[in-house]
Amino acid sequence: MAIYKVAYAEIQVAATPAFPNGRSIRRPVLSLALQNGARRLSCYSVVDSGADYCLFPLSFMQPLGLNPLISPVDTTSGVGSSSIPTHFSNVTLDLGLLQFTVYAGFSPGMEHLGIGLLGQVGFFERFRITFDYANKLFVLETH
Amino acid sequence: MLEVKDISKLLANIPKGAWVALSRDQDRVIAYAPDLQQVLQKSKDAGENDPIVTRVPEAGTPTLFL
Repeated sequence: MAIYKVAYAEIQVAATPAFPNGRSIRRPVLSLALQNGARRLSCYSVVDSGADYCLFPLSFMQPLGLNPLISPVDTTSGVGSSSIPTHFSNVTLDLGLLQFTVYAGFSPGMEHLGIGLLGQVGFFERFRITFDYANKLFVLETH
Repeated sequence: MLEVKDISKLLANIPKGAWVALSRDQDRVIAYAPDLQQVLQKSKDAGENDPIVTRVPEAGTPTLFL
Protein backbone atom coordinates (compact mmCIF):
# COMPACT_ATOMS: atom_id res chain seq x y z
CA MET A 1 0.00 0.00 0.00
CA ALA A 2 1.30 3.45 -0.91
CA ILE A 3 0.30 6.75 0.65
CA TYR A 4 0.65 10.10 -1.09
CA LYS A 5 0.24 13.23 1.00
CA VAL A 6 -0.24 16.21 -1.27
CA ALA A 7 -0.58 19.88 -0.37
CA TYR A 8 -3.61 21.69 -1.72
CA ALA A 9 -2.74 24.13 -4.48
CA GLU A 10 -3.18 27.66 -3.11
CA ILE A 11 -4.08 30.30 -5.64
CA GLN A 12 -4.19 34.01 -4.88
CA VAL A 13 -7.01 35.72 -6.74
CA ALA A 14 -7.37 39.47 -7.25
CA ALA A 15 -10.33 41.41 -5.89
CA THR A 16 -13.65 41.16 -7.70
CA PRO A 17 -17.02 42.78 -6.86
CA ALA A 18 -18.02 39.58 -5.06
CA PHE A 19 -14.73 39.35 -3.18
CA PRO A 20 -13.53 42.97 -2.79
CA ASN A 21 -10.56 41.98 -0.61
CA GLY A 22 -9.29 39.31 -2.97
CA ARG A 23 -9.11 35.74 -1.83
CA SER A 24 -7.04 32.63 -1.60
CA ILE A 25 -8.46 29.50 -3.19
CA ARG A 26 -7.40 25.99 -2.19
CA ARG A 27 -7.89 23.16 -4.66
CA PRO A 28 -6.91 19.48 -4.63
CA VAL A 29 -4.83 19.52 -7.80
CA LEU A 30 -2.15 17.11 -8.99
CA SER A 31 0.64 17.54 -11.49
CA LEU A 32 0.76 14.33 -13.51
CA ALA A 33 1.38 13.01 -17.00
CA LEU A 34 -0.81 11.22 -19.51
CA GLN A 35 0.90 8.53 -21.54
CA ASN A 36 -0.01 6.49 -24.59
CA GLY A 37 2.91 4.25 -25.45
CA ALA A 38 5.95 6.48 -25.90
CA ARG A 39 3.84 9.65 -26.17
CA ARG A 40 3.46 11.77 -23.07
CA LEU A 41 1.76 14.99 -21.99
CA SER A 42 2.14 16.58 -18.54
CA CYS A 43 -0.69 18.64 -17.10
CA TYR A 44 -2.59 19.67 -13.99
CA SER A 45 -5.68 17.75 -12.89
CA VAL A 46 -8.24 18.41 -10.17
CA VAL A 47 -9.22 15.53 -7.89
CA ASP A 48 -12.97 15.90 -8.46
CA SER A 49 -15.38 13.68 -6.56
CA GLY A 50 -18.21 15.15 -8.65
CA ALA A 51 -16.81 13.84 -11.91
CA ASP A 52 -18.00 10.39 -12.99
CA TYR A 53 -14.93 9.74 -15.15
CA CYS A 54 -11.51 11.23 -15.73
CA LEU A 55 -11.85 14.00 -18.27
CA PHE A 56 -9.32 16.04 -20.26
CA PRO A 57 -9.32 18.65 -23.03
CA LEU A 58 -10.01 17.23 -26.48
CA SER A 59 -6.79 18.75 -27.84
CA PHE A 60 -4.75 16.47 -25.55
CA MET A 61 -5.58 13.55 -27.87
CA GLN A 62 -3.38 14.63 -30.76
CA PRO A 63 -0.04 14.87 -28.90
CA LEU A 64 -0.87 11.55 -27.25
CA GLY A 65 -1.37 9.92 -30.65
CA LEU A 66 -5.06 9.26 -30.00
CA ASN A 67 -7.52 9.70 -32.86
CA PRO A 68 -10.91 11.18 -31.90
CA LEU A 69 -12.37 10.04 -35.22
CA ILE A 70 -12.08 6.38 -34.21
CA SER A 71 -12.68 6.82 -30.47
CA PRO A 72 -16.13 5.96 -29.08
CA VAL A 73 -18.25 8.98 -28.18
CA ASP A 74 -20.60 9.68 -25.30
CA THR A 75 -21.99 12.96 -24.02
CA THR A 76 -21.01 14.72 -20.81
CA SER A 77 -22.55 17.60 -18.91
CA GLY A 78 -21.25 20.06 -16.36
CA VAL A 79 -21.78 23.52 -14.97
CA GLY A 80 -23.07 25.69 -17.80
CA SER A 81 -22.99 22.96 -20.42
CA SER A 82 -24.84 19.82 -21.40
CA SER A 83 -24.62 17.06 -24.00
CA ILE A 84 -21.00 17.77 -24.92
CA PRO A 85 -19.66 15.05 -27.25
CA THR A 86 -16.76 13.39 -25.47
CA HIS A 87 -14.32 10.91 -26.98
CA PHE A 88 -13.20 8.01 -24.79
CA SER A 89 -9.92 6.14 -24.87
CA ASN A 90 -7.58 4.22 -22.60
CA VAL A 91 -4.68 6.31 -21.39
CA THR A 92 -2.06 5.79 -18.70
CA LEU A 93 -1.88 8.21 -15.78
CA ASP A 94 1.68 8.64 -14.52
CA LEU A 95 1.79 9.90 -10.92
CA GLY A 96 5.52 9.36 -10.62
CA LEU A 97 5.85 6.30 -8.43
CA LEU A 98 2.53 4.91 -9.65
CA GLN A 99 1.16 4.42 -13.15
CA PHE A 100 -2.18 2.95 -14.16
CA THR A 101 -4.48 2.92 -17.15
CA VAL A 102 -7.87 4.62 -17.11
CA TYR A 103 -10.69 4.84 -19.63
CA ALA A 104 -10.84 8.62 -19.90
CA GLY A 105 -12.91 11.15 -21.79
CA PHE A 106 -11.52 13.94 -23.97
CA SER A 107 -13.94 16.79 -24.35
CA PRO A 108 -14.14 20.19 -26.08
CA GLY A 109 -15.89 21.30 -22.89
CA MET A 110 -12.53 21.10 -21.08
CA GLU A 111 -10.62 23.18 -23.65
CA HIS A 112 -11.09 26.55 -21.98
CA LEU A 113 -9.71 25.17 -18.70
CA GLY A 114 -6.65 23.39 -20.05
CA ILE A 115 -6.61 20.93 -17.16
CA GLY A 116 -8.00 17.51 -16.36
CA LEU A 117 -10.54 16.15 -13.90
CA LEU A 118 -9.83 12.95 -11.96
CA GLY A 119 -13.20 11.32 -11.36
CA GLN A 120 -14.82 8.36 -9.66
CA VAL A 121 -14.26 5.71 -12.32
CA GLY A 122 -10.56 5.23 -12.99
CA PHE A 123 -9.24 7.38 -10.14
CA PHE A 124 -11.33 7.33 -6.95
CA GLU A 125 -11.85 3.59 -7.37
CA ARG A 126 -8.09 3.10 -6.93
CA PHE A 127 -7.57 5.15 -3.77
CA ARG A 128 -9.02 5.90 -0.39
CA ILE A 129 -8.95 9.70 -0.56
CA THR A 130 -9.02 12.04 2.42
CA PHE A 131 -9.58 15.76 1.92
CA ASP A 132 -8.19 17.69 4.90
CA TYR A 133 -9.01 21.23 3.84
CA ALA A 134 -8.25 22.79 7.23
CA ASN A 135 -4.73 21.40 7.17
CA LYS A 136 -4.26 22.17 3.47
CA LEU A 137 -3.62 18.55 2.62
CA PHE A 138 -5.23 15.68 0.76
CA VAL A 139 -4.13 12.08 1.01
CA LEU A 140 -4.26 9.34 -1.62
CA GLU A 141 -3.98 5.84 -0.21
CA THR A 142 -3.90 2.88 -2.57
CA HIS A 143 -6.23 -0.02 -1.77
CA MET B 1 5.44 15.43 -9.78
CA LEU B 2 2.10 15.66 -7.91
CA GLU B 3 2.37 18.94 -5.95
CA VAL B 4 1.17 22.07 -7.70
CA LYS B 5 2.61 25.53 -7.14
CA ASP B 6 0.70 28.80 -7.37
CA ILE B 7 1.58 29.83 -10.92
CA SER B 8 -0.81 32.77 -11.08
CA LYS B 9 2.05 35.32 -11.01
CA LEU B 10 3.83 33.48 -13.83
CA LEU B 11 0.69 33.71 -15.94
CA ALA B 12 -0.13 37.32 -15.07
CA ASN B 13 1.34 38.88 -18.24
CA ILE B 14 0.37 36.15 -20.69
CA PRO B 15 -2.63 36.74 -23.00
CA LYS B 16 -5.94 35.42 -21.75
CA GLY B 17 -6.81 32.07 -23.24
CA ALA B 18 -3.24 31.22 -24.26
CA TRP B 19 -1.79 27.75 -23.78
CA VAL B 20 1.33 27.79 -21.64
CA ALA B 21 4.28 25.41 -21.31
CA LEU B 22 5.86 25.48 -17.87
CA SER B 23 9.20 24.11 -16.71
CA ARG B 24 9.11 20.84 -14.77
CA ASP B 25 9.79 22.72 -11.53
CA GLN B 26 6.83 25.07 -12.29
CA ASP B 27 9.08 28.11 -11.76
CA ARG B 28 9.37 29.30 -15.36
CA VAL B 29 7.24 29.85 -18.45
CA ILE B 30 8.97 28.21 -21.41
CA ALA B 31 6.51 29.26 -24.09
CA TYR B 32 2.96 30.32 -24.77
CA ALA B 33 0.80 30.22 -27.89
CA PRO B 34 -2.85 30.35 -29.01
CA ASP B 35 -3.09 26.57 -29.36
CA LEU B 36 -1.65 23.49 -27.73
CA GLN B 37 0.26 22.21 -30.76
CA GLN B 38 2.12 25.49 -31.14
CA VAL B 39 3.08 25.71 -27.50
CA LEU B 40 4.38 22.14 -27.51
CA GLN B 41 6.47 22.86 -30.61
CA LYS B 42 7.85 26.06 -29.09
CA SER B 43 8.74 24.20 -25.91
CA LYS B 44 10.47 21.46 -27.90
CA ASP B 45 12.42 24.11 -29.83
CA ALA B 46 13.48 25.56 -26.46
CA GLY B 47 14.80 22.16 -25.39
CA GLU B 48 11.95 21.00 -23.13
CA ASN B 49 10.19 17.94 -24.54
CA ASP B 50 7.93 17.32 -21.55
CA PRO B 51 6.66 20.65 -20.21
CA ILE B 52 3.63 20.97 -17.98
CA VAL B 53 0.87 22.47 -20.10
CA THR B 54 -2.03 24.53 -18.90
CA ARG B 55 -4.14 27.42 -20.08
CA VAL B 56 -4.50 31.02 -18.94
CA PRO B 57 -8.09 31.66 -17.89
CA GLU B 58 -10.19 33.69 -20.29
CA ALA B 59 -11.05 37.29 -19.45
CA GLY B 60 -13.65 37.50 -16.74
CA THR B 61 -12.51 34.25 -15.15
CA PRO B 62 -10.45 35.28 -12.16
CA THR B 63 -9.72 31.79 -10.94
CA LEU B 64 -6.81 29.72 -12.14
CA PHE B 65 -8.66 26.50 -12.63
CA LEU B 66 -12.41 25.93 -12.47
